[in-house]
Amino acid sequence: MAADARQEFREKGLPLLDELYGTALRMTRNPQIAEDLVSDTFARAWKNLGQFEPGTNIRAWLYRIMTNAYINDFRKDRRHPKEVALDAYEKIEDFHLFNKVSRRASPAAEPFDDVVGRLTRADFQKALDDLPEEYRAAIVLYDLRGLSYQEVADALSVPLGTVRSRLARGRKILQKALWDHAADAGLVEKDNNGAGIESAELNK
Amino acid sequence: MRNCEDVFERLYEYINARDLDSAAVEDIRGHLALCRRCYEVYEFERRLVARLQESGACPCPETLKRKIAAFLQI
Repeated sequence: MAADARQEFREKGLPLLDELYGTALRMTRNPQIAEDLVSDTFARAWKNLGQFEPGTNIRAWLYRIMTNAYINDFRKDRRHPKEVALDAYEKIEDFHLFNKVSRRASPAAEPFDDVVGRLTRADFQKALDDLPEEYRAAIVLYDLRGLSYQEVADALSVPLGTVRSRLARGRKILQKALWDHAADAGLVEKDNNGAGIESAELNK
Repeated sequence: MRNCEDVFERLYEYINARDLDSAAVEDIRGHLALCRRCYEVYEFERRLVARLQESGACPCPETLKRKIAAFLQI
């Protein structure tokens, strides 16, 4: 019984290393700490194999172990995550980036390609890394890794409603950051404050 | 889905292909086939998520892979 669980873990756990490392890197934002987190995750999983039911979702199980370890042991500020100020997200609408890109003065034939397509991988990583960490964790697990709401809730040890609100707020902040990156890169027009502007303001 | 609001509310679940039953998936698919505005938003967000996923792809260092394989007694 134990030998079966170990064999299943070897066969199914190892192929997940790349995505687990990628996730750890986005969570910790530090390659060395990410390596430690991944090592620690596998060590804990191996030690607790008795709790894993063969045939169930090993991927979700590993993400839960890793996220718990991140929250409890590997975060910079372990006890009191900073509260996110309301004004970080309350004035940003849903689909913010789509709205901004669609409303440009001279929309290109392919608005997505013209703006988002020209942002670099580093721009995306920075926008993600700059997110308040509880939003970043939710977005990485749900949008990047495709876990379900319940799996994310289990990984973060929060209710489903909290997962949804962190995702909604995180996406808003992320999309605003991407628009600002586009403005900094000269892909879209800037206003006096250096933020990207839309066509309505251009016509004033 | 009766209207665009309903679709917007479930758009990321649709993109993620999780948390929606097959009836809901069919409803949304049907709406997107008929509603140009929703389809534009869907395509944009879908491609945005894809780029975000790419940016989160970083291969595990070989040294770490070997260390973990050794630990698991491969």
